[in-house]
Amino acid sequence: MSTSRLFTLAVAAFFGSTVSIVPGGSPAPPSVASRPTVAVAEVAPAAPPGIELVGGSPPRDVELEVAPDGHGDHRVVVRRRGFLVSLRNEDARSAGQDWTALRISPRAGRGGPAGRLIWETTPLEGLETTRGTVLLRSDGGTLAGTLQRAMPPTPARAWQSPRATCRGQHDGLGGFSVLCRFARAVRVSGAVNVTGARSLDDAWLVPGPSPLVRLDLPRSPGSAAGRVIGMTQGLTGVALRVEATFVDGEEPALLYEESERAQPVSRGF
Amino acid sequence: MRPILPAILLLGAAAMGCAGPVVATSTEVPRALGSAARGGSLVIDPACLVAWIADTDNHVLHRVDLLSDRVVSSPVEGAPEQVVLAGDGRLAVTLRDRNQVALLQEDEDGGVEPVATVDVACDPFGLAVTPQGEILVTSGYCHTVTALDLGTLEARWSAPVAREPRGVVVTADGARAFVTHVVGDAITVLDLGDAPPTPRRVRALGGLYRNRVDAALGAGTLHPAAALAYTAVLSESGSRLFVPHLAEQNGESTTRTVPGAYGGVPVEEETSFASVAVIAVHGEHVVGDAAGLAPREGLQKGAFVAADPSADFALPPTPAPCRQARAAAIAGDRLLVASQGTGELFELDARALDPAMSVRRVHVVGEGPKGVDAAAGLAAVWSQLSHEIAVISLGSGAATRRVLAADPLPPDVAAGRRLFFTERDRRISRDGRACAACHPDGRDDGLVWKLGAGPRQTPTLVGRLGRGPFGWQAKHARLEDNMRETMSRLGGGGLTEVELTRLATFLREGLAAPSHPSSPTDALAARGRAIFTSEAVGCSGCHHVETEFSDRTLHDVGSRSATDASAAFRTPPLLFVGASAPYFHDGRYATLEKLLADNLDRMGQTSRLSGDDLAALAAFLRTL
Repeated sequence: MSTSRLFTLAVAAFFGSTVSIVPGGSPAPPSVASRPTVAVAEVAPAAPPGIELVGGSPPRDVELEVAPDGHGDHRVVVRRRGFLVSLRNEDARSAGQDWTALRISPRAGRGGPAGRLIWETTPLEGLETTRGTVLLRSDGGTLAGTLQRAMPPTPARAWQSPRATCRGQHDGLGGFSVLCRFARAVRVSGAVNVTGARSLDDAWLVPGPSPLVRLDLPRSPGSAAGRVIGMTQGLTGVALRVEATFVDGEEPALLYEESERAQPVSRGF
Repeated sequence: MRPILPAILLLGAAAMGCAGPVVATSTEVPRALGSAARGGSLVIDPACLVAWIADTDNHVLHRVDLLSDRVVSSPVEGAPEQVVLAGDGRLAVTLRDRNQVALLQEDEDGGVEPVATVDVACDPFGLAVTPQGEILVTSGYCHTVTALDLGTLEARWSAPVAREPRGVVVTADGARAFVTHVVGDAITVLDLGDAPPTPRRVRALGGLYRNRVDAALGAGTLHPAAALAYTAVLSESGSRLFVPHLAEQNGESTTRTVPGAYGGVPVEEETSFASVAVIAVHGEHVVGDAAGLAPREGLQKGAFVAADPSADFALPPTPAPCRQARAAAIAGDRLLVASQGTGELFELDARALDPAMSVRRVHVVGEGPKGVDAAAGLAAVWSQLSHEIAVISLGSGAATRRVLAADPLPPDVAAGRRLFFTERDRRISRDGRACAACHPDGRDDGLVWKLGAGPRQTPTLVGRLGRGPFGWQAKHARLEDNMRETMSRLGGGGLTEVELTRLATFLREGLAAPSHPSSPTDALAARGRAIFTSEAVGCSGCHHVETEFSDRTLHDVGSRSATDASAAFRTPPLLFVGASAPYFHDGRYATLEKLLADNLDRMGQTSRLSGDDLAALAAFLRTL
């Protein structure tokens, strides 16, 4: 798994908005399937109930760029150097080291307020996450955006083992996000989605001497989301499963499970 | 057995008014319970902390007071398979060998007296009680679910279901029942508001989540088939249904060489792993298995090995726990699974997407555990082979075991039975797979295995091993020699001659054949018998009626496929053929009707038979 997905541009409807997020950009393919846009918002959409906006400006080094992409759409880019940056709403999610982007498609003839995205940044050397929103406004054809600051994510179940330290957090939309760091002797091979339509969706790895993994486990009514992080430590292969369940009649739950198995070695040498 | 209950539990039970058994007269019609109850080989009455145990071997119902250790053993008229609390001091049991359900009344001494019995479809196994006052009964061989009136045992309805149903559970509102099967990858759902209900099949088994995880981790073997779903249990909230089963790889070799991993060393992976399907009760789908999942190819592209060949990473499935998951119970977030093949009780994390992948604790409980229930922080397990109860504190893990009865089986049969059920014996198979893992109850798993000379369906054993030669090619005059070759083909090291003799003795004398009508009971089947035995059609020319419907010799009937090493096959015995689909050596026909329609005079002269004649022939075969 590589960091080329920094360029991931999502495709999705955008809640209560005059814009839709459409595929595009290069070089990576879109990571979320396209869906139709939804109704026009006549007033600026409120932040989701789980996202509490606070006064004051976001950190100065968080940068926002909303610009036409030359194909009739807009790119919304959030940058913060030295951080894993995430940008999402209910339907589309992207993340990457230093910056990430979603592609937005304004609807012709629609004016007024547009919609809201959630941004989060996590330092590459830590697990503390800063959160805010991007308020998008449309004048009918051109998008503009404003960064806003929100309360940090509410903690959810965490995980600690000799190999990995993971912090779970409520994503503000009814699901979870998990951020994991790893011991220096551990080599992280990858992180994948084992319940979604595409195995590379919603799992991001920033490689390096101290790798950082972000897993998004969005609310999936009546069902569940599962992600797996693969690691090696010497001759031991390790799989860390992270599972979120959203079964009707139960509170959403987050579960971690680490399993290992010695890797066979070739004989004769 | 020393009591392990804390004093507070004793006080709590006393406070529940459990001074003694509730007694009702035999003429009194019990009231409807108002809540669902699940049967098992062991069930705990939570009000009294009394365990009721169906001891199949001894034809006895044991009552074990978990507070005082007092045991009362009462004989019953047949081999009890499961027992369920029926309310007002009554119990219902399935008498598997007699094709009956008996209603029993507890007496003042803790014994039981029969109140009534009723005949049901053959091979009755699982039990549940609905809030509406019905007893649901599964009938394995006769693939039927029957609803009996709780008060009168009168049959309210009967519904045919898929092969080999076993466990049955009812939702708390009594709206639906879920039925498991030891064959196939689906459960059956019955809407109890309809009488009779129309069964719905929900494909939920086969390690769906586990396979995705294994594929992502670069394991070379996936296990898409399923079998041995003996039981099911609902979560305490009623929102999840847990179905332990075995996920199987029966169609491919399980020897793998994973590029970029192990230095190219071939890795022999397991043919099966234990899995627990977690089904959302509301939506009747596997939790985590939403529509539009990535296909297998997509997952393999995403596997770590493929994505990063330099990582040298591949994590094949770990050895599978809880083999032959014969019974299950729930205790909060713990899913308790009795592993018949290993003599263990597994505590699994019930919150996981596949709890079999999240083992919390393992308890050694006895040989052949097939009943488990939990209440008041305790788990009680009944082990049929060693005839003992284990009582485990789910807090401390402390356990006590007590043998309740002697083994009535002849020593050789008992020893052979242990060999038949025991998992992890690498002498029997490379991956420790037990005989019973493919031959549940001595029957078959409904699968076609790719082993040696070509694909071969698992044959039913029970009632078919009276005389040789044995095997599809009739190579072995002795059953022991045939088993030795089978174990060799499975990669096992081989049993001793004495052990093979014991195993053969058990297969011939210890397996209980389903008791079903042995002669045609209706006009259609009688007409089929006449066709079968007629010289013009000639079925009985090879399928000799007097010798298990087989002449035991090789015939080339044009059934050879491209993968078969030879063209001639031994005439298979037809006893119990009606419930041993698929058919032919390679399982190419899903039903008897499809086999007969495609016969083309290869076996007897059936091409001139009318559709009605073929239907009669199939009806007759189902009576064998």
